[in-house]
Amino acid sequence: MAAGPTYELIATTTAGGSSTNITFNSISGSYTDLVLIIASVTAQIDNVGITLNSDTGSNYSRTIMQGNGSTKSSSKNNNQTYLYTMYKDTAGGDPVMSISQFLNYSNSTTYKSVLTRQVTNSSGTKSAQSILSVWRSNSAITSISINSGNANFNSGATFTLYGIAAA
Amino acid sequence: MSPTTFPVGILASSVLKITSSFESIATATVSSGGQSTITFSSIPQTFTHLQIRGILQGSRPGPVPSGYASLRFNSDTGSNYRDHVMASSINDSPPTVNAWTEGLLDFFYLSAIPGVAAAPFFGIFTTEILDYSSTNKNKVIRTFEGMDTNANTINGYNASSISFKSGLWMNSANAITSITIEALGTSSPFKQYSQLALYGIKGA
Repeated sequence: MAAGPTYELIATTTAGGSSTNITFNSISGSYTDLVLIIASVTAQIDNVGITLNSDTGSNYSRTIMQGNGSTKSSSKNNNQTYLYTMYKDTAGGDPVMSISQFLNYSNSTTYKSVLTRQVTNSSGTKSAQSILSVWRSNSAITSISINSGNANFNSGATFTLYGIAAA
Repeated sequence: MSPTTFPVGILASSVLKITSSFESIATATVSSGGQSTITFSSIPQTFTHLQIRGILQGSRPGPVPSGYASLRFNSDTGSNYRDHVMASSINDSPPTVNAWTEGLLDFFYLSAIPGVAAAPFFGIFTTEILDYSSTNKNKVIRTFEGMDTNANTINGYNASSISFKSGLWMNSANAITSITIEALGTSSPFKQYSQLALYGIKGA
């Protein structure tokens, strides 16, 4: 028997063009999964990373599969200081977007895993990536901090967080 | 990228709730005793699509770090399932991406599940099942899955992976009314805290 509608908007914010960081704080633990959508990023940015619960230790890892229309590749990075959610846009101008799913983010018994799909369509780098990331912590995720490496997020870039509750 | 280079922050705002056509149907969580098979039965036919989200850990012993979970519909154990896979291959030099077709098999390969050598990591997946209630079309699914163990290899075996899959269940006559997910072979049983959540998505 269905338990009723879920997939609820928790919060959304639009960048004003003067910040390299967007943070969602005090995230409710009442859902099972979180979905974060980052869209309309057109700034000439470095890789966009996410830290959870302000943890900047080397507690993150990722497995990546990508293609750019002519070549395909995969890569692996261990003991990283952030989750990776968006590839750098070396030229800027064209929109970049990503969608990340944080599975079972609110439990206190397992490491936290994230599935991300992202596309970059700049003149310098055109690619589609899928990324599986892990944060080696049993803590419930209560804050998500999104950081752009070398430039402010452009005005109009949107950051939207949804919650999905299980029955 | 150093977090110390990002001193300026803004707090997200605008707390809202909206009516959704995405509904939770059922959830299964494995208890301390473990569980080899998880079945969602009597699935209501009131949605257009289904989605399953899961985190899974297996109990495969020995040096090999991962096993696999399977997926079946309506308890069908015939050779009616075909997978099309695009997956990372971290151990290649340089690491690359491979694609292949599985089947016909008597199950779908659903998701990698870390075994004893890769504890305490979990494999994760999301699967969409399209037009599951149709009685005149073969059923198709799409899966995004993998496992990351903060290591390229464990005991010389590939220890992290990611893949996209599309799948075909060659049954056009029957709506999907039950879904069975099983830890294959030595991967069995699923370990404690493994969890599967089934959702329904309504059409217009």
